[in-house]
Amino acid sequence: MGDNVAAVNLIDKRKRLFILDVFERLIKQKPLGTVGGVITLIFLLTGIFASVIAPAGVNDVTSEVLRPSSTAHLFGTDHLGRDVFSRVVYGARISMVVGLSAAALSIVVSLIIGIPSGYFGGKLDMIVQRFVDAWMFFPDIVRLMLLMSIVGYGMTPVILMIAVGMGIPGSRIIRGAVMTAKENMYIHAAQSIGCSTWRIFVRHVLPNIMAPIVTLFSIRVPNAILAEASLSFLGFGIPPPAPSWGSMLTGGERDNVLLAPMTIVWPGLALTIVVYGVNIFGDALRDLLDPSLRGGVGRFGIGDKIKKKEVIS
Amino acid sequence: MRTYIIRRLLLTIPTLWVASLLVFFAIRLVPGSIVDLMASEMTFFTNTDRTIIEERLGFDVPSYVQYFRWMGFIPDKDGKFNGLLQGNLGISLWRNAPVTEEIAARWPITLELGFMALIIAQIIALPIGVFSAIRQDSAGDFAARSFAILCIAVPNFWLGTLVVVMPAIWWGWSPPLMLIRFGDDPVGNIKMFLLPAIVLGMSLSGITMRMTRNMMLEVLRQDYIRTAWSKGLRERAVLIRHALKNALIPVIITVGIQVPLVIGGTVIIERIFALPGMGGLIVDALQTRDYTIVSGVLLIFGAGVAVINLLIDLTYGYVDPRIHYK
Repeated sequence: MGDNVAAVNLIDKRKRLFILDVFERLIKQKPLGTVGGVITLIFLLTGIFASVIAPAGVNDVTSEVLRPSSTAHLFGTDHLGRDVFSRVVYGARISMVVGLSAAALSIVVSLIIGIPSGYFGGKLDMIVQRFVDAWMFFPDIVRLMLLMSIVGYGMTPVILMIAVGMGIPGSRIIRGAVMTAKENMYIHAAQSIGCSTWRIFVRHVLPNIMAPIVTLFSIRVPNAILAEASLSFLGFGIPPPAPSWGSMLTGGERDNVLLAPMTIVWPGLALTIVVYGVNIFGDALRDLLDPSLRGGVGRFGIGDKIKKKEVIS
Repeated sequence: MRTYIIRRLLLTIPTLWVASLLVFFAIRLVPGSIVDLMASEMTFFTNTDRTIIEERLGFDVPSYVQYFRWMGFIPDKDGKFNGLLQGNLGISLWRNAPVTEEIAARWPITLELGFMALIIAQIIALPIGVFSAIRQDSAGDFAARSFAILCIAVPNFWLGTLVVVMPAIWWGWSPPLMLIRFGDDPVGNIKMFLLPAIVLGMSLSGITMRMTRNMMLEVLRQDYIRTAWSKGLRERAVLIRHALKNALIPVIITVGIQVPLVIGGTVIIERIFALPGMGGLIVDALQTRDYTIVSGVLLIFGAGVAVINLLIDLTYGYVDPRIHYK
């Protein structure tokens, strides 16, 4: 009993140290990634505490229309007299919720399609992959427009459809990883001692494809944020008056842009910074967490050697 | 090689068929049918009118019969085969013109925009990617990598809107939002497409830039590069003739993957720059439930991607003799 507790404590300690270790290496080795991490953190905090940060409500209409930036309205006001800063802050919440949940769900979709397809192979794989092929023939945004027309506009549909729309192409990556993983001896061992297929999936395949899953997730979050904004911009996403960063670039804001140009600058700038930050943060984490990428060219220092022409020696 | 092409083409057939199923039935799942939309535009509307409209549009038969007719497997009401297999995509439900004609008037615009954007993307991406790799971990490399991610991060609809709007505010000039046909004025045509193509190309270049950098880094470690250095070749010869040439092979694949991205981008860019291409057509058609147009445009998009993917696969074998087609 006592031993068990000690073992658990040890595991806890190691886990904590691992996270600290990653954190330390992030700051030391990845200055860009650290910047991305800070941006991501600010973005998440803004999303969570939007109601505390925003000085005005999302749709508080006032008579102060199309004002430039001032102390009262940090980013000015739009054509309905709404405070643009508050709307951008609330927009972070929409982007955060859509980005995280759509990315997570898209992984689930990818796993549901990719694991059986890669594991069983054969006819099932052949048929499933033709559907995935056909799906991938169409541009992302066009597929999503079509899906959104079918299920109707709004927050939940956007999340679900982005998850489906991105999950199906993502299944290719999962399928590939599963096909490699299933050739391992431990999978054969599990099969021969009579493990159920489900058990093999969950206990043996899944843990061994964590690296591509993490990678895929870190790519999907900024992708989903951008996809939602693009859809809302085209009028197929979250309809106004919800403060989506995409829809804030069209409609009344766009019509009055010559009078108040900054109203369309802020939401786009916020979107750019967030997608930028999440991207470089994800990149850095991927490098740090994936051992197969470690100790590559960077450590080898080939760049310096080329500069000094040391390669010849 | 020949067997490979034949096999590839044969594999494309079931995929295209599944794609035709998807494009035909997916749009029919959209709630609020076109008949309802047409009805809402008429003041007096009876059920007889509904039957007449349905019959005129060919909706009076079950949807699978509609599909077979659309595909050209079974004859239309007039007894003629008039479907996809006969090179016909049906009649636009609102515009009352053949879909093929509608598309024919618009595809050159989308193609030109997409093609120019792809070229511009490579012009931006390749030099920066190579520079970034040979000066790895230098300040320039950091700047180049940041720029690459920035290209990916900047939403093209925002950049496009700014490009249209901001010059008007600053200098009282805005890019011309009208179409100049290539036949009328080739220079004016290129000039008109340049801005939208740069906006679209920027967002594409980020991916290629990163890919080029990674591939260059990998190739620069190879033995043959060491040999090239020790032969006393000039830096330029080593980098361009020995390293870049090999590093570019996987980059070609990236360009192939980007083709759907380019098409998706043209939908947005065409809207912002008011270009009458296929993107605008499909957005309108989706909103007005013009089923035949949506299916037709989607099918053309899909077929375009399929053809380009095939071409990319073949180019891959051409530029990399190590690849053998089986």
